[in-house]
Amino acid sequence: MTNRKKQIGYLIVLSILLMGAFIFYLSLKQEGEFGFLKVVYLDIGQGDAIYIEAPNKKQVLIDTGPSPATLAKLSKVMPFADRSLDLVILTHRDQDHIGGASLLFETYEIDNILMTDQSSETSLSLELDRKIERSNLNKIIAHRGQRFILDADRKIYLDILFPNRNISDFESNETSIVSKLSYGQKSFLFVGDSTIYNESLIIWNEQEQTINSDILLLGHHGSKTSSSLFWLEKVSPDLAIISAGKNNRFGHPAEEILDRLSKSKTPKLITFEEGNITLLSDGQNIFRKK
Amino acid sequence: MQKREIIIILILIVISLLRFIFSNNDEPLFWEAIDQKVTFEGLITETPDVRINNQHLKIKLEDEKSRILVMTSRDKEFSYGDLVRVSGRLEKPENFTTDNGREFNYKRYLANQKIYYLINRAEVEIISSGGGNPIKRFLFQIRKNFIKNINKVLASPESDLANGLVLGVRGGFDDKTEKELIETGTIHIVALSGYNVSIIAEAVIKFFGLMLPASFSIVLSIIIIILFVLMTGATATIVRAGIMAVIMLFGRLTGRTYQAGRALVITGLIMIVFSPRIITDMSFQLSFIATAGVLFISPKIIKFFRFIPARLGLREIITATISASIAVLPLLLYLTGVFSIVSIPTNTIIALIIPYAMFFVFVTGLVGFIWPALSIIFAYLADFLLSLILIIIHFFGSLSFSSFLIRSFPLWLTILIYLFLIWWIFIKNDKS
Repeated sequence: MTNRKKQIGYLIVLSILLMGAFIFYLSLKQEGEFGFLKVVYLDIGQGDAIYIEAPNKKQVLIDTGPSPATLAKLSKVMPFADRSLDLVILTHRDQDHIGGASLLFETYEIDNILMTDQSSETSLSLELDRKIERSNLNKIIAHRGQRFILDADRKIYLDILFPNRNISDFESNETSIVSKLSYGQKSFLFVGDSTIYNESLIIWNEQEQTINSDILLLGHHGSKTSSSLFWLEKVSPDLAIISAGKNNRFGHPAEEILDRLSKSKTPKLITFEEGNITLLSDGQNIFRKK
Repeated sequence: MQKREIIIILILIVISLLRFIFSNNDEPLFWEAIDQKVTFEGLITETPDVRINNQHLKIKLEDEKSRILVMTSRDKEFSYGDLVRVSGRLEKPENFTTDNGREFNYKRYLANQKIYYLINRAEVEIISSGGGNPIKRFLFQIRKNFIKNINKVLASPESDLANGLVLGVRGGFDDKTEKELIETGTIHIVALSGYNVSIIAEAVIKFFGLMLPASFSIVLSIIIIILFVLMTGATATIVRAGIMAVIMLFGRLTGRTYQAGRALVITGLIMIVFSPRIITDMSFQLSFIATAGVLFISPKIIKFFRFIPARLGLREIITATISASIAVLPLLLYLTGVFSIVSIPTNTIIALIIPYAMFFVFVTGLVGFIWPALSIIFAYLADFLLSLILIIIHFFGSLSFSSFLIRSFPLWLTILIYLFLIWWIFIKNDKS
């Protein structure tokens, strides 16, 4: 009898300990960012993948990184067991931007996909087209002037700045979709692999205040074919983000561009140095969550 | 031991020896095609092994016994039983040197699976689906959907660990986690070790035992275990554990006593008779020696662990872990050269958590078939236990002294240690 009691005692102590551990674990899972717009520049190696979550839980992914393996990091920054995305933007069809897309189709539910009508003959790109055709998601062709309303109450919008013309004879990088995410007074600019040529086209078409942004993702992983002085002046970011892989074979980011940033005293963050870069905004401020 | 048993074992030994000596080389000769671009049609004979950067398909040519290993991108989804057209450059496999400076006999590893040629970066097109064995196709379909259910609610690397623990799915891990698993000597848990299979077998037996009459539940358990072995791809380790579980169940069915040691020997011989080359398979060797360690070394050392409470099977788990570690250490040192100091504490601690983690992963995956939203509740519990396991592995794996490399560990020393162990277990006992 006493043995029985002893066992029950042990069981109670054990379950209390387990419950305590479980509550502690839940508190770790719980992310204290209610009411904030969250932008995560994922550390996916040489490529781009940016996750955006509005306070009303609308979710956007811009590009998918170079491979399914690297995109596995996405589920870590999303809410637990959440495998749906409201919008996926594929800026253009290079491997380092669409390489992870197959994982999206395997495990995620996607409502809308935004891309350009430019096709590519790589097997990766052809397979992507086949998958999009077979699925029942809503395919949208990007052009300037489109506005995606992420959170109507808080006025969080994603505006498309490029393509602003017929791009059918453009080179792949030059077809990149350029978009601007704004929340109150704060804004983020995403440019894919846009080149200096695209930058000039956008400057030509847009008003100064449209281009001006607080956070700029440097074009083409910080390559010297992007981020002209003129462009950096027009955007005048408070912070530049570079999404690149460590010791990548292209030498991104280029020394020239880093010099350019330090001359204009623009601070920068690089994904391969920082890991995932998470920024939060309440519409008045932007701060980094470590 | 009875006369009859000795005779049976002797017959098995003779057959396996004969089979081993006369095992004919079934390597097809494609010499003229080596390093040439080839195109052929064939059947996918195993569920695709999806790695982090590509997927591996094993493809059987028509009218051939052997298979060709085909590596292709992850973007297309293939299944067991698909008839495919493959094109690419035909290559012979080559042995390579591992990170630890040991040569890995890749040729032999593949030859054991009747694979003598491979194609890297192949273009693969599906011609038709639905070939192969319908039971296997059905089982692999369940497996695939189970993995999807898990991936829908758990994030990597927890999801990778989950799939590894219950289905032996490997290859999903990022390099850092994989390195830590190797350095802490815990990589075997994600390859679905015999331990995991025995947990599953026990759970199945208990589950059916609760609601069905004894003999009926035993027969049902045997069937489920066989199906499970097939579903997980029937690797040497799993087959070993599966056969032993089935022998044990047959013992119960016929009212005979089960002697694990004898079952192990018979299982080994059956496997060798069936496929003699398996004796050179590393996971076969490790699995057998580890099981033998648990069976024969445990009773010898348990007297040193009387101070550990027997509650929750604590004492048993600790002695089993230590016994298995002692048994495999010489072979591991010979094969890999990695000497993990933290292996025993890490394995002991996670062995306590694994059964519960496996239970919740199973429930999560199964409920996912019926009611995905409900599976999230179980996923929370599974995720908690899985991240706990990963935290423990990470803690021990990141210690600077967690493991070190022994440059060369000679074969004669390995054999000498095993001879000593055999003497210690069997002969020393008889004298006292």
